[in-house]
Amino acid sequence: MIGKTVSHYRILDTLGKGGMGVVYKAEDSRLGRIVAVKFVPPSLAADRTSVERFQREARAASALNHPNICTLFDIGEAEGQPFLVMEHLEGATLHDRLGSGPLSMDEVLDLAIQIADGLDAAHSAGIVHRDIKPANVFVTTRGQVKIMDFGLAKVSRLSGQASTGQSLMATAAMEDLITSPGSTVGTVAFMSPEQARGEDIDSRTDLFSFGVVLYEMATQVMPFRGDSIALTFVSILERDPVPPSRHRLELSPELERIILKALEKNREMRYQTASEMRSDLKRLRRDSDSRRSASTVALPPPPTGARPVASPAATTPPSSGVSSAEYLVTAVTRYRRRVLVGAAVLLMGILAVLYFALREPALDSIAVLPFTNAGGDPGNEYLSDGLTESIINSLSQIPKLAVRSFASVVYLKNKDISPEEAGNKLKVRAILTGRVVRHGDAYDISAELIEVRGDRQIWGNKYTVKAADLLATQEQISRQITEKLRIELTGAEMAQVTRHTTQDSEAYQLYLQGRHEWNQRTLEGLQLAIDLFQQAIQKDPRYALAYAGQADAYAQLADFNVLPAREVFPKLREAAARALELDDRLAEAHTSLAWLKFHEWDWSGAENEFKRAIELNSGYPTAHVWYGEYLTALSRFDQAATEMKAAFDTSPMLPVVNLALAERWYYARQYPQAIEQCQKTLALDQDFVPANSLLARAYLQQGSQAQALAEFQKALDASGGDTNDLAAQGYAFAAAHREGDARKVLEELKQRSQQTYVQPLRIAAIHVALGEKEQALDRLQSAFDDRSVGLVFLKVDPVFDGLRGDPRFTSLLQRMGLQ
Amino acid sequence: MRILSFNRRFLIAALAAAVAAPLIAAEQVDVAIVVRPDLPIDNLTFAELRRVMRGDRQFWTSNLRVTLLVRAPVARERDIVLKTIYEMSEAQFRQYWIAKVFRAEAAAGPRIVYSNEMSAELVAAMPGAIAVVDASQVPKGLKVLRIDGHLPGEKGYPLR
Repeated sequence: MIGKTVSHYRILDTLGKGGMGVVYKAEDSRLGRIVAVKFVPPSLAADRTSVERFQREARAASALNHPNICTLFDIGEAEGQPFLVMEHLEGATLHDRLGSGPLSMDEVLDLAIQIADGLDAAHSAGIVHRDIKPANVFVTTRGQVKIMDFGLAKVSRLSGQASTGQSLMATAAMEDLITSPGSTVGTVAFMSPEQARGEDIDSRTDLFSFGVVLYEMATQVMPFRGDSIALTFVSILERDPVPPSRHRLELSPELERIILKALEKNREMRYQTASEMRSDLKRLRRDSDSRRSASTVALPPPPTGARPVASPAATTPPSSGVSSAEYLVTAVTRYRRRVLVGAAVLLMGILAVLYFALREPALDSIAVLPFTNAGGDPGNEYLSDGLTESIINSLSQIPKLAVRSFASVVYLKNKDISPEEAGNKLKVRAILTGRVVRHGDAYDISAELIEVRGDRQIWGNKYTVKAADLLATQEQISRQITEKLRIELTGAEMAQVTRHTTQDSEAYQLYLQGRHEWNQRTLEGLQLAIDLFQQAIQKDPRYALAYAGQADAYAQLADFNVLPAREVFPKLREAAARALELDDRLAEAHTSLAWLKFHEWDWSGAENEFKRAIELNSGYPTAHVWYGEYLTALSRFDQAATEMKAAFDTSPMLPVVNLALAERWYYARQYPQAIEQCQKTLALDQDFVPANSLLARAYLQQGSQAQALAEFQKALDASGGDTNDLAAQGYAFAAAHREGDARKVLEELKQRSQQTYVQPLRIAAIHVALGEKEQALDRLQSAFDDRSVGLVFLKVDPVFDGLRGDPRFTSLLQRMGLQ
Repeated sequence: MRILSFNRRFLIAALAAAVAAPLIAAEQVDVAIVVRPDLPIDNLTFAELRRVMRGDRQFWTSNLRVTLLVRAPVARERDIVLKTIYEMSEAQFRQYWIAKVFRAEAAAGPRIVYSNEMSAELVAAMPGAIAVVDASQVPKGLKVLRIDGHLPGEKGYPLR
């Protein structure tokens, strides 16, 4: 192997051999750095399923970026043999280090804290090592701990939930048992009781193994020993370890307590998290340090067995009578037991009151500000926006957390605004900020969680990941934020936070790009979004969210009148149905289906779907807005207001939500309020053309024709000559008695209809305003045949008031189920 | 004073005319339809060019597919194409292509190019590609198609 080149790694030397494979020193010819390349054993490589799982798990593990975890750079396969590429380290394993003599207590604590730190990072990412032992802990020449072989650990499916099944590591360990008897006892001796019994395991298993390692580090002795594997198992399962202080007399009682707590056989009694264990270790080191520094200025301690000398102040003054103080002392002595119990109860009460009074409340509302695309490359905008949106979507799954939607925060992108200011503006208690920088094929992602009150950072982290690991990183950030928000979640709720519907990173990226384009709400963005969602589906045909995205894009296609809705609906239905077939808990998909049913005039079906979507994700503003439109169309204005408000509460800065409020006022014939709301919407985004259009319609109904015509012209200019805006202008001309101009528009629409779709409903409106009822009704019939999207408002639209009472119009309403 | 004033005005007008003349001339430069020299076509009728550009004719020959290259918005070449060939507004042009692809009447819309150089490079590299470039910037090695028998700059040439 030496001298050979595998992929772009030139093998230079052998670093070591073990049950898990051979490790080589190699040079990465692309980046010119020295790396360690580890080949998995041929026996493992022969099993395709194992290899795929190995690769998947290694990919997830490679997202771990922590100073105490050996970084996994790459995975690959050469001649059917999978390999890992890791950072090359100078130093020795802890196993070798322990072999060369005992560690000082300072060294024990220093290394243990680093191991706990590395484990905490991995466990926070949902990764359980499963084989913590000195051979897997590397100590660099500078004394830095690097936990190795996370790439071979099984990824815990959910944080805090037990994972099931035999892990790859367990398989490898069993292989060790068979192939290398000399090392087997050592491997088994670090197993937890639950591992030895073959039960489900979780992160607490690593803490038990860490306890065994710590015992050995402190004492040079293994806590569970046996002459055979079976006897070692018996020792782990049934025997209590000998207190470590018996092996090393100077061992502090606190370290002994920490070790024995880690070695509790019942995992409920053990340390529950690595961070808890790390805190105890750090406290111990701090106390040791302070004792040491205190001892440098204090008198030398008395010799062993000497009685302490009473201080002058403590000496009882001579007195002939019994003072009240003496009485108190006498009483305390007499009733000592009762007094102590009472004092303890009182103390506990005080502590409980203090706990409830001082504990920090959960941060129950958050805004994730758009991540900064720090490299400035516009080609990476989709990534910074996509990551933001994915994290928002994950956090939106938490029922106890109010999360501002992406659309409501996007206007803060690249704005120089303090977290405190942003938090107050968005009315949230926590703000997450982040940045993304691309370096070649890797990304540096950093995120920071800030409590708005006091502008205090409560969490921050940096990740360097490859494109393939973006998914895992997004999940990791969401999980860590959830923990830091101090919100108590059930396992199922946490599962919702961290779930994603594809394992294919490319598909995920395409989806992110698609969403980015879709959010632009332009024809250009729509065109790209359709293509990108399709590509995502091609990459992963089981990617539910990509189908939901496609359905949303098709809905926009019909809404923009690019095509007759009847042509679009079958594909929309197909995409929404496929998304739900793959994941029926996807609020986005239920919302798309609801929108379809609404515009197919399946009123009860639509309402059920809207309600289901909101039940699944009450923070999804689109569901509230579209449901509000539905209720508006049915004249249920009060209920519509409730839904619009729900959308507004989650997305107060979102133009679409603000416009929906205006729409409700408009259809409820409250034009001054509609005008005011349109103006507010335009104040948020002056380029939001639909607001100009609705403002114009409201002006027109109010009788302010000049203002209406001016707004219609603005909309037409800004949209690049959009047919819908042209038709609206034609209607305004007719309503303003400028018949000649209205007819010119009618003629142009006729010309346009030779090449592109012109919605008949819009032409009908012009005929109504011109007083041409029959032509208007003919056009309405065409709109009915096309299933024109705008028809749903026929019952409430003031534009068609001139036709009300006409039998053909009434019949139309009846056929739509609106009367 | 009045003479001076008149002279000054005259001078300003003359200078303005001198400065504006090349600008006006530049604005009037025709756009050329360019293809690779090995494309077996030298002349198209305007109606045929419209069919090609609108995606209604998708093959030059039975095995040579047409690849359309259109400049990104704001470019003068694009404005001329939309106005003279498509006869559409910007929004309508987008609507047209989204619908065409959705209905599977075309595999894809036109590819967007951002400069005349990029157009020229892609035409040279892609068999079957057709682009619209400023007639004063046609690079060597590309073939300029005659439209209705006319080359850019000639009387009766329709693309200006």
